Order: sequence, then C-alpha cells, then structure tokens
Amino acid sequence: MPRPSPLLFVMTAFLLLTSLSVLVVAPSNMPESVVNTGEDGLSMLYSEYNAAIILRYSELERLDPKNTILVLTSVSSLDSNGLKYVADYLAKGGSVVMWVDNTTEEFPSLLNLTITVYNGTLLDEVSKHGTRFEPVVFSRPLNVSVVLEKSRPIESWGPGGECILYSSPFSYIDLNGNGFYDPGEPMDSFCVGVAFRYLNGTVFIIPSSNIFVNNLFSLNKDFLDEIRGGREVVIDQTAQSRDLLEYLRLAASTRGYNSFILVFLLGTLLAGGVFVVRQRF
Amino acid sequence: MTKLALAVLLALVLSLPLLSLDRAEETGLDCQALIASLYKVMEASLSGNNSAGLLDLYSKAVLPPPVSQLHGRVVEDLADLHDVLNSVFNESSVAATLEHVADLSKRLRTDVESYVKTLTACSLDKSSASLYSERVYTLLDRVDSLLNQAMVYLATSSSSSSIKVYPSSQTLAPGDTVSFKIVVLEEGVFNGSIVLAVLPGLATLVSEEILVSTGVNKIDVSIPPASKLSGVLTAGRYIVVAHVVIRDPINSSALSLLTLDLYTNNLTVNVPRVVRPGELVSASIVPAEGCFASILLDRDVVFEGYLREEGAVVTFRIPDNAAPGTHYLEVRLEPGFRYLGGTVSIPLLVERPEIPVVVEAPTVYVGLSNAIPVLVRALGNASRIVVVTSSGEREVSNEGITYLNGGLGLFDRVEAVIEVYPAEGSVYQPTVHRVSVLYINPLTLLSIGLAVTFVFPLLAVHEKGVYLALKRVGSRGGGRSLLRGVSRFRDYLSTHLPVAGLYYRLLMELGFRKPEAQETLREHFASLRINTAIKSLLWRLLLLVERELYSRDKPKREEAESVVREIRNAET
Repeated sequence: MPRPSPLLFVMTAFLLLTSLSVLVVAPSNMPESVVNTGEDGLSMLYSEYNAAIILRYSELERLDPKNTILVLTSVSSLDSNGLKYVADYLAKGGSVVMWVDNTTEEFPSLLNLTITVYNGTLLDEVSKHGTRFEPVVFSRPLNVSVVLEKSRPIESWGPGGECILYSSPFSYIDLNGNGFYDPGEPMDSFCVGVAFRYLNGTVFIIPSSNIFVNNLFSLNKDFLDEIRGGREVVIDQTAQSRDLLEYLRLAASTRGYNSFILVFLLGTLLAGGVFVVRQRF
Repeated sequence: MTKLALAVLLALVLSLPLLSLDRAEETGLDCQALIASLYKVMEASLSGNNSAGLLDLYSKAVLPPPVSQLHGRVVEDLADLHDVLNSVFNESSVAATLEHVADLSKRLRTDVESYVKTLTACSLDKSSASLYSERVYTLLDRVDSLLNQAMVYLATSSSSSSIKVYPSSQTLAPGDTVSFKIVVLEEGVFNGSIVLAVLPGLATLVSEEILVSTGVNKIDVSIPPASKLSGVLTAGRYIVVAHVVIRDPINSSALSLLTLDLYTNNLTVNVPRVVRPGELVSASIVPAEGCFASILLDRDVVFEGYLREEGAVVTFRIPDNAAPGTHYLEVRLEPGFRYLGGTVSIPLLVERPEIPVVVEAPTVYVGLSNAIPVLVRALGNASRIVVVTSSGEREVSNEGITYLNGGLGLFDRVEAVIEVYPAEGSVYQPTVHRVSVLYINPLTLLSIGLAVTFVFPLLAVHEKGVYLALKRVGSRGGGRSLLRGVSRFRDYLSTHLPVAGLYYRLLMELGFRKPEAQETLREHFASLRINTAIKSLLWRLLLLVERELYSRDKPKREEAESVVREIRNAET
C-alpha cells in the first residue's frame, strides 16, 4: 500500500484552517448574537461597552454582581439550573435587563415575580421611530426616550416592581392583531417596562421583541447608560453558543472567559500537523 | 454552474414581491389611529388638561407628505387655539382680537375637516374611521361654542364709555324690528354706523349709517326675514353683536349682544297615514306662518300655496290612479319670514279597498223547488259578478238575485263562491264571498215519512215472505238466514253424525280450516300442517268419521271421544 503524499496532508490542513477562518470571520446571522453585525445582532452593544459575554450560566459565579449588569437574551431557553445561577447572581446584588416577547410572563414567574401583559401589541402612529410598530416610549424617572419594537404593554405587576417606561398617550393596543386601530381598542399611556427589586439585585423587564439590537442601539444607548450606572455590561450568549459554528465564532472573536477552547482547538490541529509531518519526514 | 446561478437568481427575484408586500403591510399608515389621536389632543385642548405637553408630542409625529402638511396646519391651529383660550380665559394679556378669534374658528374647522377627510379616505376600515371622525366633528362644535364665548368676552370687554347702547341683550327672531337706544354722553352731533354681525365669523346682517346727537337716540333696525338669512346662515341659535361706532369728531364704540333664533321649521304634519285613492285628505302643518308650501306625493305636486297662519290646514286629493302600497308625502316649506323652512317626508299607505258587496243568502232553505235564491248587490261600480259552484262557473248580471241549485238528498249543503270584479279604473279591488246554504228537500222528507209509516209494519207482518224473498235474492242479502243455516247444520251433525260433529268441532278448536265442498276429507287432511303426534291420532279419528259416513258398522261415540281426549292431551 503506497504511503499518501505529504502534499495531501498539507492541502487538507490548509483547507481546514481556511474554511474555519472564513466561517469564524464571516458575520453571523443569528439573532441577538454579539458577532452578528446585522439589524438584529448585538455587535454594537458588544463593541460599544467592550462587554463580556457568558456562554454558560455557571460563568455568572465568576462575575462581580455589584459591578456588572447582565443583558439576558436567552429567557426562552432558561432552564432550572440556569435560573439558579441567575437568582444567585441577583441575590448577590447583580442587575439583569431582559426583553422578551413570547415568554413575557414565564421568566418573572420563575423568579416569583408577577407581571401581566395585555394580549396585544402596542402601536403608536404619533410617537414612533419609523413605523408605528416601533413606538417611542419615555422613562420618566430617568428622563430618556426608548424605541421599542413590537412591544407589549404591561397591565399590572406585583409588589417590588416599579414602572420605568411609559408609552405616549397616543399609543394603543392592537387587540385583534390586524395592525390598525379599531374602535374599542384602548388608546392611552401604558407601562412598557418594569423594574423589580429582587433580593439585593434589580430585574428590568421590558416586554418587547427588541431593544438593544444594532438597529435600535444608538437610540436606546442613553437608557442603557442610565440603568447601567457605570457598571460593566455582560451579555448572555448561552442560547447562541449552542450552535457549534456560533460557538466557534464567539470563542474566536470575543474577549470571553472561554477563549481557551479556541486555543485548545488550534493547539490540537497544530499538534496533529506536526505529528503528520514528523511521521512522513 | 451557470444553471445553478440562474436558479438562485430566479428564486431571489420570485421572493422579492413577497418581501415587499410584507413590508407594505407594516409601513402603511394607520389613519384610524391618527383620527383617534387628533380626537385625543383636541379633547385635551378643550379640557385644558395637560394640553401643552400632549400638543407638543402630537406636533412631533413623523408622517408622509400629504398627511404631514394637513397635520402641521391642524397643529398650528390647535396651538393658536391654546393661546387664544389661555389669553381670554386665563386673563393673560388680552392679545387676541375679535377678528383673530373669528378667523381661527373658521380656519380650525376647515383644517380639521380636510385632515379628517383625508384620514378617513386612507383608513382601512371606513366605517370605524367615520365613527371617529363624527366624534371629532362633535368636538369641533364644542370648540366653536368655546370660541363664541371667547368672542363675547372680547366684545364686552372692549366697550367704550362715551356711548351706551340699549338693550344690552335681547332675543330676536328673523323679521323683527329692534329699537336701539343709543345714549351719547359727548356734546354734539355725530356720524356713525350700527353693524349687526353674527358670531362666529362675524357675518354682517345689517349695516346702517346713523346720525346721533347728545342724549338718547332711538334707532330702529330691521332684522332681515328668514328667506334672506338663509343665504348667509344655516339653522341655529346665534349670538349677534350690535356694534355702534361714532366717528367724528370723537371715535367711540359700544356693543350690544343679541341672540338670534334662526330655526328650520320643526315641521309637524298631521295627516291620516292610511288613505284611499281619490280621497280628500287634510293635513295641518305647524309651524307654517309666512312660508310657501308645496306638497308632493311621489314627486307629483298635490298642493302649492302660501300658508298664512300657524297650523294651516291644507287639503289635497289622493290621485284616483294611486297604486296601493306605501307612498311618500313630502311637505316642503320654502324659507319664509320667520323660519328657514324645511322638508318632511311622511309615508302614506294607500289602500285599495275591496269592492263593497251585499250578499244575502239563507243559511237553511226549505222549498219544493231546488233553486235557492241568493241576493248579490255590489255597492261599488262592479263590472261583473261570477258565481262559482261545484257544477261550474256562471256569470250573472251586474246585480240582483241569482239561484243556486240544491241537490236531491234530504240535507244538501250547497256551497258557492261569488266573485265580484270592479269596473276598469275603479279604486276598488275584486272581492270574494263564500256562500253556504243547507237545502232541505221536502219531497225526500215526504218519501221517508211514507216509508216509515207504511213499509215497516208491512215487513214485520210478512216476515216469512220477506225471508223467502231474501233467500231468493241470495243468502248474502240476509244475514239472519245465514246464521240460522249454520246452526241448523251443526244440529244436524250432532244428532245424526256425532263422530263427524266431533271431528269438525276439533278442527275448529285446533284452528284448522274446515273441509271445503270440492275436496274429500282425506284430501283436506293431507293439506293440513300438523305435528306427527297429533297427525296419527287425527288420522284415527278421520277413519272413524269415514266409518260413520260410509260404513254400516257405525263407530261408537265413546270411542271417538277417547281419541279426541287423547288429541287434546297431546295438544296441551
């Protein structure tokens, strides 16, 4: 059996490295990913604050809760184990900001916080950014305006909560989901963001599909600055990192606590190459 | 490779329109929400509740060009309104002038109306949009009345003290003459003018040059009649400002506020709601004084003329050819001296009555002749009368007595339908009468009486003869004779043929048919469906019967009875 040509090994290794680099360097299209430079990515949030990311909830233990604010993006995939870490983080005085659309009421109930949202999207044809689906809302205590996307107004919230975001008096709830104002649909100023005191920490809940994504980031930066208060921003990327390619991208291009994985991978590849070369020559 | 690239390109091109459609749905303007927002901001302006902040937010709305211009104009007007109401009612410096407020009132209405119209036109659901636009218009009326008040305030606060005008307030009607007393406090004779203008908008009603001197001057001013005002004003209650200005040598003015009622006649027309063609109908019309009235029945004028007094009674005729059904009577009053006139439409039901007919028929008729007389008399103008009976249709002369045929039975119910048709062009419609007469035929009655008297006693006496006669006719004819025959046959059997009698009785007991005349006993037996146990026993009995019938050695009755008993036992 003839021995394979060394050129084949070199070519294979080269192709592997090139494709990996291309995949890692090519921008992601995963929503709310820090390596996604598109409209729904968080690359601007990440680069603006030189934020840290977490790929597993257990990493929360290593954070300093008093000096960080966690931007929670994976509410819908939060399991009981992850919840334990989040609750711990809050108990130690951390702050969590989250925006949710379809699972608005689930996460707060996991933390025993009660919040009830209206069964309809908040639209505003007067106070808006672009279309009425992106209402401009106001934070009275913080004196900043925020642009939300397909937000859902909060009907009531439990003890320990305080409304921090109010929509304009011209906003209305599209109860029947036709995207237009119909008679009987309430038009008023609604609460669209609540801050809860939870143990020693604070939870900001904003029922909206987006708030800090790239296309809204510059509009909502002031709001984040106000609630951040000089603390470091930590972005939750646990849901995104479940995708292997995304994981590699995150590991390769972020200042995470997990870049050793990339080092390990590259090391393995290098060792394999050296081994092959030494075998052949 | 080229094919693949083409396929990808094609897929992209195909997906483009879908994408753009999806975007259009989201980017389309929600005009209904904009009308509701306008309502909200107007309501806030009127109540003065946080209106400045709301208006500020409202003014920042980013809208596409045609709507944004209209929006901008409305915002400007509302800001102006806010300033005016503030300056007038909150007594900041009185910057607003009467003319400015009047102009604003007009401007606001025009701008809001055109904005709302544009928004209604671009709304997805027109009916709900118009619901909101109606609400906005209601607010507009409230704004108008508020501005009226503002103007009254401005008018009264800018009066001068060198002249006075009386009355300072009075209620007017069109055509009235108002006597103004103008008191001039300065010495001399002055030229001036008196202008009566209506708020809002200050449309001039009367403008007269006057010459006044020191002291009390009486000036009579006639308010134009309603017919002339109708060109300037619509119906309603107005505030009229009487503005007296004296020019040389002193410049002085005074105001008086009057109320003018200019109303559409709230017409009340009393008229019967159900009429007949050709009927003379009276209608009383209130109020009507001094108006020219025209009354139309389905666009045909039935009355025209001046009504001199209130509650005028007008008489008109319903045309003879008016079709039955609902017609609309329209009463129109032209603007008169005092009223603006008006129109009222009243539904009238025109009935076409049935032709009146008198039908007199006896309920019971007894007569030798079977012709039953029935009186038919049409009171209207009948063209023909048709009598329909079971025997056929018969036309009779216009009116008079017609005859129905009674039958031959003792009691005969004679039924007929009498149809009366009105003459051509008559106001009546055909009518149908039903007649039912019980006819008793005396001849039949007499025959029955005779039969009862004579035939039955005869029958009773000659019973035997009757019996024979019946037998001749056939046994079916006489029920009694048949029964008698059967019992006789049974007696014969029991005395002369006891075993055969037993056999027949047993057959009947067991529910089998009896032997017929054309079959032998054996043939009959073969045809019976019996179980084998009884069959052999019955066969034994049959042999005994045959012996009794045909043999000299007659069987004993006891022997046959024992077989019968066995059969009965087996049966049970």
